[in-house]
Amino acid sequence: MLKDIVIDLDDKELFELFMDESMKDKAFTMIVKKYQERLYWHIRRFVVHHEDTNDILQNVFVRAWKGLHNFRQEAGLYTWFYRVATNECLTYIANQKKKNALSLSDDEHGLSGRVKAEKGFDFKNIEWRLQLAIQTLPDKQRAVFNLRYYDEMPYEKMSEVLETSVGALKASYHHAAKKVSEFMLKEN
Amino acid sequence: MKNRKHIQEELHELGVDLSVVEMPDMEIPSHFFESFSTLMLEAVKSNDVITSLPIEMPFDIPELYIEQLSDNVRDVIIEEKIMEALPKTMPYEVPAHYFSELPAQVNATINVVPRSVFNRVLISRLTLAATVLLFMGISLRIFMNPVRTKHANTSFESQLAIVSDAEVDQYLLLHQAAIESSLVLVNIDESSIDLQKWEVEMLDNTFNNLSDEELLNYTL
Repeated sequence: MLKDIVIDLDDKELFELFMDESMKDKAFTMIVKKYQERLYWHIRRFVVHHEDTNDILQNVFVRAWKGLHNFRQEAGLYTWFYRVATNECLTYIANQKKKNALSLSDDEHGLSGRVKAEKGFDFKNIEWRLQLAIQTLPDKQRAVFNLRYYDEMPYEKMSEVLETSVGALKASYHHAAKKVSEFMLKEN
Repeated sequence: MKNRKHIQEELHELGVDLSVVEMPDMEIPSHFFESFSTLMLEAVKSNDVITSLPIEMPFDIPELYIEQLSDNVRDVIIEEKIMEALPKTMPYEVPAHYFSELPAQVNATINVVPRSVFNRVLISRLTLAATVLLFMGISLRIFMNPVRTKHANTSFESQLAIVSDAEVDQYLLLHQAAIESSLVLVNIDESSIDLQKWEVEMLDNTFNNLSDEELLNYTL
């Protein structure tokens, strides 16, 4: 029932409902239901583990609860959520690097290691190999690649999310795709 | 005109008579033919300028760019083919019912966060208030102590004044044991006390400290 309502309401309507104190809780639940899966996968592609993904995802929604009042509608909820989620991921990874004093791109201890430690990992499977390839990318480039490749986000939207020019994003995606292809060829 | 006549004759021979067909009234911009030659000259000259421009481009291109272009294009095609063949599905597993339970989890988190913040603020404020009260209490005790003592004594004296002698005697009789124990007299063996010596010493010590005048006043 709620899922149907969520599909019918656009971001602007959801935001207006959220700002109505009597409807705030319901609107928030609708917002969570609308964005939970998309954001979950966006975060999980970054941090790999489910537990970390869950922590970050809940942080994103808690931040939404606290900060949506100051949200400027011209940006769009979709963009706002992706921006917050991406920043949370980048901060988390940076903190992990400091904590471990190791590069997370390092094969054994970093994100590649996390991929290999996941349940069901199989190097022969192309899906897993692609995940390994993506983890070799620098953080920002990985964000660009994931947003473009998996979420199929237009460059203009990506520009708002990552606060980078469209030209720079195109170049970044091109470099990322090249590296991923090279990895796939090499590991094939 | 002679030519025109020939054309008319020729048409006539062909069985076509166009002698009645006149040219329609078509308008020409005023002074068109007067300025036409000038316009033509400018056009020809500008064309000359364009044709005299160099064909060579001033831009530099990377070394071996042209030579390597075909290889690069082939690489891009391979790259695109690889990218097209890559899956968009994720291999990771998600716990069962995770997405259906997430909104409730988030709501629970939101309800916990403000309370914990509230508790932290409340505890810190209560701690501050208790510290201030303690400080004030200590300060009052230090600065007001003489007055309080005086007031306490005054109060005790005023209460004692309304108690009759008989009541005092009765109280002392009832609480003698306790008083003696508090004065540590009960543990002293009475036979060990030389009362005569004690009296002499006490009187000596008492009267030695008194002047003659005080002694005189005392005896009087």
